[in-house]
Amino acid sequence: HHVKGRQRSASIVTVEPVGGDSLEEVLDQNAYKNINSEWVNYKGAWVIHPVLIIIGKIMVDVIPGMHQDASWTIVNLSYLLISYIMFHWVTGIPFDPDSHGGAYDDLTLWEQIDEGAQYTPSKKWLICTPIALFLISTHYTHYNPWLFAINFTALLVVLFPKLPQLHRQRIRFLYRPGYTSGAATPAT
Amino acid sequence: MALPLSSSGSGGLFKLSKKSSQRTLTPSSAAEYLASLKAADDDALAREQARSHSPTPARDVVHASAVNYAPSIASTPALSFASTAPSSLSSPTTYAATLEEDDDPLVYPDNPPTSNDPPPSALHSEFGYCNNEEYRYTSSYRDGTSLFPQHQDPPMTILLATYISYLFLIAIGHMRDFFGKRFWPGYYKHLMSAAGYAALNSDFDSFYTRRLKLRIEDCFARPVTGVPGRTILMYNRVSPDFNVSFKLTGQLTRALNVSSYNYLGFAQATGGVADAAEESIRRYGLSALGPRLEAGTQDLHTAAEALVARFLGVEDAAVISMGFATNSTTLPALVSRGCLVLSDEYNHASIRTGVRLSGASVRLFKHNDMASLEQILRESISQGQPRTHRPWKKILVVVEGLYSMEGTFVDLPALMTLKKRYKFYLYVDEAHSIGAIGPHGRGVCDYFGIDPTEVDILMGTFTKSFGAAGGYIAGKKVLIDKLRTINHAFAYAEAVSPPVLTQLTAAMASIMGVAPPLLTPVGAINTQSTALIPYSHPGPAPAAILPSWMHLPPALLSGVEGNTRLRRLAFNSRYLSQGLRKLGFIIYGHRDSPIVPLLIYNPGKMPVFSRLMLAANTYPGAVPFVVVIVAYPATPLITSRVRFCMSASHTKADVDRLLRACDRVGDLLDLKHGCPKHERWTVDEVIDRAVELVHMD
Repeated sequence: HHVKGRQRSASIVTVEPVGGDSLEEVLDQNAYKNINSEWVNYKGAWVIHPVLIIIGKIMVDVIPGMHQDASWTIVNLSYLLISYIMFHWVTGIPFDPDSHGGAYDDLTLWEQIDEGAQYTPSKKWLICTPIALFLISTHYTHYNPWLFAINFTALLVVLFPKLPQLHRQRIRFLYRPGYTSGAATPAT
Repeated sequence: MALPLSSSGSGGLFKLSKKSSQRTLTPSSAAEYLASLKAADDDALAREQARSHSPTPARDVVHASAVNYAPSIASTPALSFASTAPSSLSSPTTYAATLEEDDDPLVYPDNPPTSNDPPPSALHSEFGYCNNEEYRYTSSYRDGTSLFPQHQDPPMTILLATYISYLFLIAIGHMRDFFGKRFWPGYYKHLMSAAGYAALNSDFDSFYTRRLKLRIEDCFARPVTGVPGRTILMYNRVSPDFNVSFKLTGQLTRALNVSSYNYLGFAQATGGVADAAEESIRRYGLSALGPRLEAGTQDLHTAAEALVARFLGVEDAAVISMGFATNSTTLPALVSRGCLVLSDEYNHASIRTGVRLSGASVRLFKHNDMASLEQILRESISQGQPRTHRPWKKILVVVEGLYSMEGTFVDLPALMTLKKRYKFYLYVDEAHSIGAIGPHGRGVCDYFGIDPTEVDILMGTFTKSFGAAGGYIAGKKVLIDKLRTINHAFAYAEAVSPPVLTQLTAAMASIMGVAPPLLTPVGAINTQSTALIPYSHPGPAPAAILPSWMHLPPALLSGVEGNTRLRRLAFNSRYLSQGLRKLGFIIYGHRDSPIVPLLIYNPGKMPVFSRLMLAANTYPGAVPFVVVIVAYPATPLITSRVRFCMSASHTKADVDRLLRACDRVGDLLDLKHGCPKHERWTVDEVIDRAVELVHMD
């Protein structure tokens, strides 16, 4: 894996491509359907997002003294946080290391969906849901500038890695080439 | 001294819990045996007196002395009451009714043979006795039945509940990992790096195994003893630390076995085939002592290969000692880099391992979807190899005859049409369908009525239908001769051992029937060569192929018993899958398939299903069932299932019991989302109209 840009340690931000198209990786990936990421296309996998949001909203509203704008902000931020961790932080497949031989170890769930194809229906839904939730939350926060800024920033942070240009790219801060964490598979 | 049959009739109605089919491990010394025999006698006497005193509902108590209660051996002393006939040890024709086993449906048949019937040739606990000719069916493809997998969908609430269940399990699992590593590091030493060394196991890779599968570990890998026939004897175990470790309690439970691949019921310790295997050990020993290409080939191997070739109706066959290895060594020998392998979505791990080892390009097509296959074919043929766009050296389509997780047959007629049009090579893996499907048991080609020589490579295993082990490759003689030299298993792996070879030879000969030996014609050049022995497919095996010392009993030799087994299996499979559908469950697969997956969806319901079936308290008079539950990641995320494997050794009464138990558990767990309520039948209706169900469309 080579790092784009200057390779001196003075670089604050570098972009590193991960994954690969080597023959072994392609063969390992093609041997099985990736059931870790296939479920986003199954029946009910889209509906579960609004259902979980509604359940979360109800649970947050139960807290006494909760205002609607705080409640919607909390729900918005929690959904973005959980979906970020699930789709863009954790890499690899948490079972069956023999079947795929580590071919997906560097890929997040987003990059595994639909075998890396872009602009697929599931990806479009997963982009629209946080946007819709953000719009609802801005309505209920009455466009308060502070809350708007928080929600908007969070939305951008979550939407940024979903861009097709960032497919299999990692943004690293103060990256030192040659330093590895030592773990072959990602940390929990 | 003959014991009168119990006069208390079927006490089954009043027996609330499972039978006292709990026995301990065999005693280790003569003194212990005699002591336990005395204890057994006292028990039997006490029970006889108790029975004559009061007809109270008997709770099956484990007596204080039961800890030492041992099954007696066949030749018990004459004055003993406890002349039990433990199924694994007595001679097959003694159905000595005993006080504890006379109404145990697992050991004693519901409709025992009368004095007019021929004596049964097998132990009821290994191969069920069923004399009713109505419960037979011939398995063959009915023109017009759709082979495209039709999956019903449950209501949306069930699917949403399934997603939420997995979310809970994963969240709780992560929390436990997080806090556990900080507060109880002793238990997580193997998952954390220490003293400069990396962790022994990756906690991420093993997350599902540790946090999901471990919770229900008592439903998997149960220790058993004896043959996995119609019933199986399990060692009971308990876990003091939530399934991390298990302790054997010392008691055994006999359960009805709907989880083993035993399609024709050849998993028997008694019977003609088992006797032949025993005889082969006396003659040949236990091992072939070498790879095939290096002094490991014996006359048994040549005979078995000739028999397999005739069984399938092809020119030649090769036999390999391990079924998995058959695929994983043959595929690299057939294809290499520059070839294209089109493999079904749900193919077995052995096929995928073979394809990955070969280095060929692979593409998956949707399960049993010939339109998807055709689209991929057209795309691949027109595009050629990646990057260079040169034409492919070979295109090999790999399918399975019967898929073990789905219960679907390959759409072979449509596949043959595609083959004629696009001219690819076809490899059919008949691991589950050989011996179990088709009017003569010859596999999917027999089932669909297709000439087996049209399929380029036929592969199969002997584990499922023949009670043996290993696999075979069959096809044209040119291909098999070449494969014998380049297949790794022939060059490096040990050859099939003689008892296993004899088991598969005898079982296969029983299914085919053996033709009486012909007089050798005058002027025959080489009567040793099996290739010159005439054979017409499908037909009986020529006697000259079989070893001369193999003496099978007449029922097996004539092929009558083999034919009965095939028809019993077809009836049982069809009955169970139709019956479960009529009860309202969602069942995948085709109606003729001996594998019947019942969909459960929710991961939490799986262990409950398994434990309820084993505990045998689903309905009065229930027997314990041992079933296989499968979930993510062996199946797609939402479709967890329980998979029943039917066998010729089951009787209709066994399937009735299974239907009753499933009906009750299905009501308890809300599993009936198949056909709507007004179309469902009650379980009594299903049982009464069984024969009509089987012949229904």
